[in-house]
Amino acid sequence: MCACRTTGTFEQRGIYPPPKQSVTVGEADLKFIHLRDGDDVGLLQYVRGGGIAFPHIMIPESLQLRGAAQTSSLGSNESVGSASIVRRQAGIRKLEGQGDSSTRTRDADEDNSLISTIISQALWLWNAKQHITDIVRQTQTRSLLIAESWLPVPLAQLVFGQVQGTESAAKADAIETENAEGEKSMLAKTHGPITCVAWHPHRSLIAIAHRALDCVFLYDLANDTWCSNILQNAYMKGITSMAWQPNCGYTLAVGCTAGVCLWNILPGSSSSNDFSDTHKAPSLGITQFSSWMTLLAFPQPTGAHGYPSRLTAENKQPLHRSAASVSAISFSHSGQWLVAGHQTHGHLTLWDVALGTATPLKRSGSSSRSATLQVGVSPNDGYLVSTHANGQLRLWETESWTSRVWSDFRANVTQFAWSPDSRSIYFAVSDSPDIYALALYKSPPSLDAEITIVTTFEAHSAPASDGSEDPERIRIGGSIKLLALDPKGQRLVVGFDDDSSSADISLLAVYLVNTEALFRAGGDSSSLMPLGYIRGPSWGKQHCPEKTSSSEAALGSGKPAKKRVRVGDPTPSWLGFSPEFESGALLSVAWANGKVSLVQMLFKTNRLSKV
Amino acid sequence: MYMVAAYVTGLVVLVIHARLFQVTREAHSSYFPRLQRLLRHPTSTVMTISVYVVLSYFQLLVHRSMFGGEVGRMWLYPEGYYGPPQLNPSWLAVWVFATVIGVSYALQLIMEERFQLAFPAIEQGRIYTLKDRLPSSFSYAFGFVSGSIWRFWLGYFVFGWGLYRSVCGVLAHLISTSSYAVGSPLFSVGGIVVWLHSGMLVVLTWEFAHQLFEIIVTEPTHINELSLDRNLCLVNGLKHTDSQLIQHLAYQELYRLVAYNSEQRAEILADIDRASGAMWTQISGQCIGVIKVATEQLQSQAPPEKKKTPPAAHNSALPATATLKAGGAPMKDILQQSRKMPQTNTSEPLTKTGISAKSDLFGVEAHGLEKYVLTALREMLLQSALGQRLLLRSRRAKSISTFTNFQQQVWAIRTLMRMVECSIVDDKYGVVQGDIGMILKVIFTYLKELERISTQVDGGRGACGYNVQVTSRQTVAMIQVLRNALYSFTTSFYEYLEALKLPPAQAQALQLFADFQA
Repeated sequence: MCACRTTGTFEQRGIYPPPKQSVTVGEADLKFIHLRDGDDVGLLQYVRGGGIAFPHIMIPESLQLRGAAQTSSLGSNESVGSASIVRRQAGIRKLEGQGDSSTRTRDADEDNSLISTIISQALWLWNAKQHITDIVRQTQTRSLLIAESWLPVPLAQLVFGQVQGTESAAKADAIETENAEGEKSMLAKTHGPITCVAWHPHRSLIAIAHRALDCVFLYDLANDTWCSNILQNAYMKGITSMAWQPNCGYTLAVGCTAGVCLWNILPGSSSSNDFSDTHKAPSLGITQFSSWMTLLAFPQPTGAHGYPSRLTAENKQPLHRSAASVSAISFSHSGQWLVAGHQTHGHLTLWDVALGTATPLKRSGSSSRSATLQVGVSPNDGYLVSTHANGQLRLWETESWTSRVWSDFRANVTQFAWSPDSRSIYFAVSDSPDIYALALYKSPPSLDAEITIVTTFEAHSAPASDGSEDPERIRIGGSIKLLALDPKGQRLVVGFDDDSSSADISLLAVYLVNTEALFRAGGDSSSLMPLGYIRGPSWGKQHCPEKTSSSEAALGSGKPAKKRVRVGDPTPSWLGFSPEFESGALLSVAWANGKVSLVQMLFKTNRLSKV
Repeated sequence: MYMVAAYVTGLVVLVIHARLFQVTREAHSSYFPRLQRLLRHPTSTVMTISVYVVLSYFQLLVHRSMFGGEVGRMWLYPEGYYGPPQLNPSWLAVWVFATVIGVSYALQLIMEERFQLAFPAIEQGRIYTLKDRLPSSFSYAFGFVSGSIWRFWLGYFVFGWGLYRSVCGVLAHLISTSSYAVGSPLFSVGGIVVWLHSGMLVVLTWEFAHQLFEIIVTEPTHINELSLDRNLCLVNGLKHTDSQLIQHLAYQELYRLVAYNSEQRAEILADIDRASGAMWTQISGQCIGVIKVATEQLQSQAPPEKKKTPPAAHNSALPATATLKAGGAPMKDILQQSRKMPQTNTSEPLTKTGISAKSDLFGVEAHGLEKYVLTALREMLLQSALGQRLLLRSRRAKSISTFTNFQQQVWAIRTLMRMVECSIVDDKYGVVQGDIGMILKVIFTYLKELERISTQVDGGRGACGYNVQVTSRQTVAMIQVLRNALYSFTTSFYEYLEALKLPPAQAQALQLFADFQA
């Protein structure tokens, strides 16, 4: 591994980061247009060249989902400036507070309505079985509480079982939560309300997963409209990954704690509503749709960690992680099969999605140390790459599923991207500024491949390109956290980790890609050439407690700590390109404040090279 | 020694499976014919049961001889070694248990159609395939043995003492025996552990042999690479109707080649100079044949359509062919109409008990005296509730009868459509282009039939007043396979859709896929 091919740095090529007060709208003529105070001559040139200033899509940190009869404002379409109204599908989720009979009774009393009371009582009777279960559970809890005060806890648990609300149950829950948090931080070092974003492979439709609500929103970019339905299910907790199924209409797979939730969306089959006429979305037909979910779980959970046969949305208990919990998913480009990596072991599961059959691929160890971080199928469906928490990068060929492993990395391989010709992979290792490339020298099923470091982006200071004589110096670079390659294989975008102190992580570095250089002997040309920087939208002024040297000094001097104001740095939490974009590439960046920005890159491609 | 016994047992199990395996599922319309199946092939049923009982005895004997203990001794000497012996109740219980295990395992193999081969979804080598199946084999063996112990315990609790006394009575006529009061083996924890241990070892051996046979027999073949005329070898395999296994393996190999081997794919399409016809024509003909047979099977189950007289003017206005729009406005959703108006008629007229009055419950094989006896038996069964349950046509059974060669259909559809998709690049002589209309017609006809049976309201009204629509897993899966194939086609041919000349009905249906509204 690692015959290093060096490339010129950004500074050597005269490329400097844009100032902090600017925001990048797109690329034209191999130059990025940075707007500053909304006034830039480059914008006119950019628009004349076919550039579009896409609106930002906003997802709030928390969102109050209400009943079907009510509406809630989800996010603002900043270009229009109006709030998009989002309604969730009736029947998917019960109204908040309906799960508790006492709440319902209280509401009925307040309404002082006879009809309400009758309905409430009827509902109570309807759920009589549930109430009996609650009473039994309460009795069990009381017994266990008494028993725990007299007997050793394990003995009490043995006799009465573990019940919610008891000391032992609280301890167990705390351990479970701790484990889950630890696992989550290991699997996805992302922040903010957005867990992941998925572009529909053929339509201008984006699925955005919300971290706190464990639900998925659909946004139609064709006419800047939110779809009214929200994909939410009691089994869909702890979302880790998401992907649309190619060649199958509107089928969305969501990897989560329970397994893979496969949402089948039927366009133009909404049940009822007054919205459909006013909010038409060409991608789906209308903004309302019918959908159903199929849970793909392998192996089927059993015993104490088995899924309950009836799980309602008001059930706030988290689903336990099991062998079926999914950390990463990827569809084959034919849409026939889906590969799922798991949170608790290194085995992969191969699903024939249509038939619903699962085949395990047991190679990478069964311990949680080898948990899968990412999986990705090559564009020609000939190869699969999986990365694991034990530092392995495994390359599979998909005909007879043999594999080859590389494991001599300093840390885990966290991000990778396939080139469109399926002959190379660019990837990054956590806590490292290096960008690696894996070059496949033969066609599938050959595993003849070599890994090289193609470039390094060390943390350093560089002057901002604001045109002044004394430009501010910006610290950039460091460990690479995010990496994305456009579907035409011409632009590689890199995001940096926030662990490197004082580096400006709101800057994304963009490279020109020449994959052919990986296969050329001599090493006189580089695979990656610096192109420019993308700066995300500013978060505005934020109040944050001091934690720098000044705060320490303040503490040392005995003076009260002051809060200081600084310009917030937007942190990218997800990077990805639109699968289809004729005039170049369309980058989507999810920022940690819940904003999804779209950056257009205009360039010409040879159509034959795409094929 | 036990290893040798396990090998011998495994070998016998492999021979049994080699004799009795089946590739396609056998259609059972109700529980009654499933029971009848045991009697239809009495020789194989008796042979299977006998072999498994004997194997069970054999392995237990070896097990007992190795581990010894009181359970392994046939005689007890309560009056000392010079006194008359007494039959050991634990020993008898173990042998009865072995009989129960052998009989119930053999019956389960036959009744649950475990002789039917399951072809693997992917090719990953014997070792990895076996490794993947080990956990399920362990869990199956444990579940089976523990369930058998539980049922055996209950049965022996009721009838065990009587059996013991009967056997002792018979033995007393042969030799002088003692009749001391001895404890019941059912309440001995050690005895139950021995049953579990021995039973697990026995059933695991059978399960491993069963899995090994299936893995070896269904392993994807590479015969194509070894033959001189690769394409002809493949086509001969597809036409090999004498052996369903060979035919299935040929479809499996064809699917693998078409999916992964672009060179061979192009070679098939370029192989046009044959006396028997172009290779593409022969292969597509075989695949289309499989789909057509399935479609006809579904159509034969459909109720007779009421004659409709469409308006003549409208009919005459329909053009012979229609063109498609790429990226046009969504057309009227035809499928949506069928979703909104689910057909309430079922495939067969049901009597008030829900038992099919029309269908031949005994299959086509029953005739003569057998049919007379079975008809009389059916009439007798109809008098009781249990009998009616046995005769009730279950949904699962209906589904099985429709998709006896489900895997073959999936391979045929995927192979056919994959070759059509790749014809854009691979088809040098344009042999595929002329068949696209016909292929789409076959695919859409099958899809239409599947959607018809999937929209039948079969479950009545639920508790909340909703229509409960019950569809079989295979029907939904096959619809997904077809939808996936059609979407792949429209994605590949998107830029050429306008050039396709199709009948209006197919054009309309394909337009939905092109507009992502299907």
